[in-house]
Amino acid sequence: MSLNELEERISEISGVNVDACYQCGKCSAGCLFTAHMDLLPHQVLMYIQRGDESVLDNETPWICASCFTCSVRCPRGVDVAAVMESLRELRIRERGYETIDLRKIENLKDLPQIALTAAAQKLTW
Amino acid sequence: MVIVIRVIYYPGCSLRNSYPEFEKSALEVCKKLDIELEEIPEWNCCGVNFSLSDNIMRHLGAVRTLIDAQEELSSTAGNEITTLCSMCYNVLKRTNIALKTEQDTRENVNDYIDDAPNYKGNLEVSHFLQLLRDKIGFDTIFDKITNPLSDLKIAPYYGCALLRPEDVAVDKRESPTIIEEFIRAIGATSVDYPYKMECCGNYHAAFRKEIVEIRSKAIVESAVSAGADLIISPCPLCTYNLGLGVENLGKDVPVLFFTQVLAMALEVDSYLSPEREELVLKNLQGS
Repeated sequence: MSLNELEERISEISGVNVDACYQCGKCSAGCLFTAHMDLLPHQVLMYIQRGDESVLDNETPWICASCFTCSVRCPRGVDVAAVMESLRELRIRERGYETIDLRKIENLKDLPQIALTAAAQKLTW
Repeated sequence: MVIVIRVIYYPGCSLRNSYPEFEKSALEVCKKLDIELEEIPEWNCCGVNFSLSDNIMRHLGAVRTLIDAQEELSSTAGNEITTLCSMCYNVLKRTNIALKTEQDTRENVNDYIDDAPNYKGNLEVSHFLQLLRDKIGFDTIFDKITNPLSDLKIAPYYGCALLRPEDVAVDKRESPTIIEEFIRAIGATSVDYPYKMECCGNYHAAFRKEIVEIRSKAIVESAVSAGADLIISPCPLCTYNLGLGVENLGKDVPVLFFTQVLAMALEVDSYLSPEREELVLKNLQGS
């Protein structure tokens, strides 16, 4: 079976074949951040398998903290964290160059540089 | 005869800007353990998070650091570059693996960076904990400590960057023991608790602080209910995030860097802040 267009784009960015996912839900079971997500990780993969681009408007990719718990446990070797990153990248690349708004950070005074750099790396280009 | 171990060393930004006690205590420890950390003369920010996309440009900082380390190494023995910060370790290690295993990536980057020598891909990246385990040995450390912290119950916190993904793991990724072994080497008791490998919330500290607070609170609470006097961490970002958890929990649980407790056991300056020192001492006397 050939990949759909969304799967192709994700595969180009991350090298991950989303079609390999067989929806066991292990990624969602181990994810620490599901309480803040509007779609569970395995559901995100299902949307991509269906070629449903509405998944790009979901919060879930922006909640993923890249802890790789899902990626290392996936029985099909799907790097779920990399899929989340490629969904973010698709949006970030559409927007082009962007800066982060320091005024929106309430704890800016005591925030170490490492947190700011981490956020800039994840949320902008 | 004293054998001095010389290793190329990458400090990273957080050790200079936000958490100098991490590096300073490590340098004190090194004097006692006959380790010579040779700082790379020029280095860049690693980028903190390794990009999972095809965009190698995000890693140019890390690549340049590896090139600088490579040039420094040509004048010394060995091929190892070590870091204290586990985020730096993760990014340098993954960048190094990408450059070693993907010929295209290496060639592209080498062509692009035309004001520096080509990266040859023959470095090994290690974390300081690995250096202590593999080059010094925890048994040797146990023999060298003069102030065993036998009254302290310490919770090891691994976080993500030392263990995931698999190819950068410094130990078994689902059942690591390296920090527990380290804790035993300084004469303290290691506290077992279920959340030691769970993510603290990473970059959300900036824009979604509430996520970090919830995660870190759960981690700290778990360590405290297991009986921990303090938590040790190998990562400046985790340390900050766990601090938010401590604040939220309303308990006085110091979160120290692992090098600081090692410094206490070796009776060199551990660079504790006065508030932290007070707490640690209180815990030492109280238990």
